[in-house]
Amino acid sequence: MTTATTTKDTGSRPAGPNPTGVGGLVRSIARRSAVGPSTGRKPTLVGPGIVLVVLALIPLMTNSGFELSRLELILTYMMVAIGLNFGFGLAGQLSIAQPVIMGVAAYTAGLLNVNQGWNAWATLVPALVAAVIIGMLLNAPGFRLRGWYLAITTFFAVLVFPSLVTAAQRWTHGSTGLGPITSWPGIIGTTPQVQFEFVLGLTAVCWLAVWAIAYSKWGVLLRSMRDSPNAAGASGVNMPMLSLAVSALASLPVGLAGWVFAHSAELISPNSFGFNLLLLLMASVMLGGRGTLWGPVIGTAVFETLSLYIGAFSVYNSIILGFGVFVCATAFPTGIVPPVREFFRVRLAKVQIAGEPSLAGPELDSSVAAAVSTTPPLHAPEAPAAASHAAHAQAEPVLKLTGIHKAFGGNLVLDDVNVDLYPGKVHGLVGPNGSGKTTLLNVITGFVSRDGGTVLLRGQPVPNLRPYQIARRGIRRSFQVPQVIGELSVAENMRLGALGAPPQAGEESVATSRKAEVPRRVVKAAEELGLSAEYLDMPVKELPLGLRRIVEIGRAMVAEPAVICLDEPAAGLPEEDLVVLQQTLHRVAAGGCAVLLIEHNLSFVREVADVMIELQDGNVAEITELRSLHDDRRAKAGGQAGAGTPTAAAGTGRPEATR
Amino acid sequence: MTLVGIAIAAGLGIGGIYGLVAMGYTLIMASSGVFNFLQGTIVMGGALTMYWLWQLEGWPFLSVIVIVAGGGLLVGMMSYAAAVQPVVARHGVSDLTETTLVTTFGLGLALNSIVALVFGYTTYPVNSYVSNNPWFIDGIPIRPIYVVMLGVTLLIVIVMEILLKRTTTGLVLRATVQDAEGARLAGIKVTKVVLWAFGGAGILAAVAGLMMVPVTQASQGIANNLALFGFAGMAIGGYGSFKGAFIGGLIVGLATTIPAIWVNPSLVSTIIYGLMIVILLIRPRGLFGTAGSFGSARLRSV
Repeated sequence: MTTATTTKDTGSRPAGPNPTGVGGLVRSIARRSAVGPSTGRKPTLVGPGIVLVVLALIPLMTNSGFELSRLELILTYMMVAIGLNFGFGLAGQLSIAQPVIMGVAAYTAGLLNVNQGWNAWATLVPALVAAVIIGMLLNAPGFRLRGWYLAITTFFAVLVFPSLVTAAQRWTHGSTGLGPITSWPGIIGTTPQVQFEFVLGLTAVCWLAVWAIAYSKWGVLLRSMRDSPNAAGASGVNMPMLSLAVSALASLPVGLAGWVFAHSAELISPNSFGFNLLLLLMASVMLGGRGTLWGPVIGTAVFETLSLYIGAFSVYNSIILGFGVFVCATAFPTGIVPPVREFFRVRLAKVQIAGEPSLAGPELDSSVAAAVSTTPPLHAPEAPAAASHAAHAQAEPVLKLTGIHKAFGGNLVLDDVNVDLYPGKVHGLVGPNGSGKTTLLNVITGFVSRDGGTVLLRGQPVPNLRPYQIARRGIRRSFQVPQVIGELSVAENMRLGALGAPPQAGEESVATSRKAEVPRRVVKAAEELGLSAEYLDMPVKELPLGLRRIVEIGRAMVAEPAVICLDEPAAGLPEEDLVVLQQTLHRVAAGGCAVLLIEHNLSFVREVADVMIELQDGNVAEITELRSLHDDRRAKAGGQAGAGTPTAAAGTGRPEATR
Repeated sequence: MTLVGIAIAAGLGIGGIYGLVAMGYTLIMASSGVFNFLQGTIVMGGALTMYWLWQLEGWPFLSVIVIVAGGGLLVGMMSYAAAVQPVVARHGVSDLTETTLVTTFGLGLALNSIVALVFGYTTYPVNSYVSNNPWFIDGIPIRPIYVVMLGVTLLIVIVMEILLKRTTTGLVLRATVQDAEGARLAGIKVTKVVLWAFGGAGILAAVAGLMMVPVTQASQGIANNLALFGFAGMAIGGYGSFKGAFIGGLIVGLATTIPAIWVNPSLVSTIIYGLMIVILLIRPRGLFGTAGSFGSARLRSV
């Protein structure tokens, strides 16, 4: 451990293999540069408001109805791009059938208008309903298919749609086009300026809806869907339902655009909803930056303006758009919005620091030892802890596994496994590779269904359930490679643990507020873990492996689970982090939770565990009570309470952890 | 009945072509985890080269085959260098499939449009390279070209299976598929293997374009159709299996020709789409697919 070197004038991380000592300036800039909506920064609508006002003034500058209708077209495609960005960028749903969804909405509105004489207001709801239904249907294969398969099947749908419209030409008039579709009755349809303001307003509503969602608890859920779907499931989030909801929500702006398109274009034909549109949308979202709020707006403005200039169906247009997609995806995968935002934020930060150094914020050391307290748990001092241990010894197991069987094909991985987990104890699950440790953990957490055997949680039988259902009953887990949302803060990542659980009266009203405030449960979990409060605002992508593991444990703790299963939490951690992790696990257990950890490092297990369960060829070979040794060590640790760390037992000779 | 017989013959012939494209996808997917959208572009390139050099310039057929195959190899390798290598260099292999889907899609559509600059959107007829006199089986006329298309594809399937299962090259490829990192540690130059897989798939696609052109005619627009019908073949037949890709291709071929007897031919793509979705919903890995590639137990969902 090095102490943080404070150098106000350097702008770079110190060279060297261990980048723990980071200057306050760098840290403060890094804290401000969290990509995307993150806590610690109050969302503001001043900028978007100014942009909206400027755009709303455009009709004062031009009287040309032709120019205004071109701008309306750009706004219409912007809405579609916002829909694509919501599903693909924010929630990571690889669905690119937006041209089809827009086409279905446009044809629904057009057919009702032309054949049934419904006016433009009456067709709105049918068009939106049609868009939502088709959007959910096209994404339905996603429940069974891997992501990129879904991408290509939805792409296939874009190939199919125009030919379907052509085949149904008795109703749709095929490639000659459906029309004339009437415009909005009253002032909107007759005045180009008002119609422009109307479409601008609709676009602003779509943008604002995404903005509101991105900053709400839904923003955390959607990003977890994209970045850490397994963790969301293990936190009690019903992913299929969430995915269906995203499909429906992402279809709304697209359907709205289809409706606007039909009533402002007057004539619609199938080739408006084909590859060219898809190419425009993808190029726009890639250029702007997927997952950003402004990306689709800026991208569409650039590419659609270009398209209008070149001609939407010109060969040169598709060449430019194709290369646009290609170059953006290879050369700047984040798009232009994040680097630009970074640039301005860094400048802003420099100005502020120059003016008033105190604004630079507290200096944070991103090492594990600095972030997590290694003193014993506050609410469980030494003597009572020992007493509670004695009490736990007679306690009933919180989780009782009896006769667990699991075979993959003909390969019997778990063969009659009987394990009891006790509250307040750390259980180390050890054994050679292939002995069934991970499978057992997956069976307990529902990621693998068992073939036989019973599971009793607090005496209640737990059938084979989906991971999210098991998580809601109070069994949480971590992953060997931490499944975290890099662009969100520690607090928001931990908050995910509470979002999947059924809402608790009273608590949730605090937790759902859309401020930079941190939900009470997260603060409580952080206190229990000994995680310093100022780390709650740090973006997780800046944290080292050890702290990401702590974040995962925190995410589980937020739900106040009965059992926590940890998959090799110590793997790949440096020696000094192990001591912190050990203390963290003791704190978790001291709260009354049963901890099960898979571990290869036997000496670490001997340090941390109360019970060691040894698996061999799918059988429990031995269960060893380590408590006596453990108490002995606790006594030692208590003896040198001033040091605060059980260094004697760890035997690393590591200097005491102080900040 | 005769109509159905003709449709089956045509379906198996053109199905062989879809099978070739599907095998190209499988080869690339298995070795690198990339879905190379440019395969459709290469098919189109093979078809238009055939029109240009053979039909217009009258070059000898064998020399056109060599040029088309060589061009396929080159474009296949270039697609790796342009659309995949930079992505790998930037952020490794996480999300590689998704990212390269976008890069190859963009590059493919851009190249398709560049071809349209030269050839326009016109459809060019190309004469058959074998006799047009049909053989009669049970009174059903069968065009020899269909037999050639299916026969050559079958030959390629057999050669590929032998290469993969019996030779060191196949062992190297399978090792790369199973565990790229392990293969690297064992001294296999993974990048080189992947590059050759892209090149090999390019040859398959270019030859497919050359073989089919008297039937389908040459146009810029076949690129997207072939790219997606080939994918349907792979998805239906099975993820990570050459045999599956071949049979999936035949199923797609038959689904393009047989229903066209009764329904509006413009509904063909809808029928294939529906068939693909139904099969994927019932069996996501496809008819002959495995969890991993080539029968490996490990799922490589990259």
